[in-house]
Amino acid sequence: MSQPVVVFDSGVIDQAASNREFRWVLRELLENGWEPLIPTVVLSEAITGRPADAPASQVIRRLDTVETSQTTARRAGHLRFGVQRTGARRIPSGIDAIVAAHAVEAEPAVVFTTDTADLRRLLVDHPRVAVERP
Amino acid sequence: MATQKISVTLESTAIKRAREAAGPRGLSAYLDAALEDKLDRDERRRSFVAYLDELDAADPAPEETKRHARRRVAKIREAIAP
Repeated sequence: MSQPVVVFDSGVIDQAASNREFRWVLRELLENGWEPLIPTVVLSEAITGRPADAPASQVIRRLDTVETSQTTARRAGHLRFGVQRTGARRIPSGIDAIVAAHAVEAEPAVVFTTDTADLRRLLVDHPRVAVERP
Repeated sequence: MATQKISVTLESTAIKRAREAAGPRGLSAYLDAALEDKLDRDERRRSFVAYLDELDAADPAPEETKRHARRRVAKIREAIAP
């Protein structure tokens, strides 16, 4: 059986260093065998090239990132289209869909995100993926 | 690299999938690579927990925050339970 996974969306990476409660949530999960996963694509939203990136960069340097395979990207497309098909006015971004797809492939998983609404809509058919704020 | 023959017990389904995925490389080489990968990931995880400890030493969380964090983790576990 595979280990449960903690997936980081772009807005929470720096909070792993700066948010005290989130640090303890992560500590509890990782000490109990949960595996951290930062999809590489989220760096396009998490990193700005300014000194303010330091906390996020420290986290990324320690955890590294995971590339997105074609299979995962295709799954992201399916998840995104699933939301579109419901007639929703707001369609989640491609990056949110990729984050969701990584979580689906790792089920059971928890996604930490600042945008819980979009991630929940993408993952509505995947009850073994929790979506949480940091 | 020195190798060693060992006897381990694995899930039948996982063995079948691994044999298929390994192809001509062979099961041993495939499992060896998977084990290396898992060891690396565990090492990164431990290093990150040590980093979280350093941060908490410099900026300690109050007990109430820790309790709240533990309750949240329990809820997450409950939510994803099969």
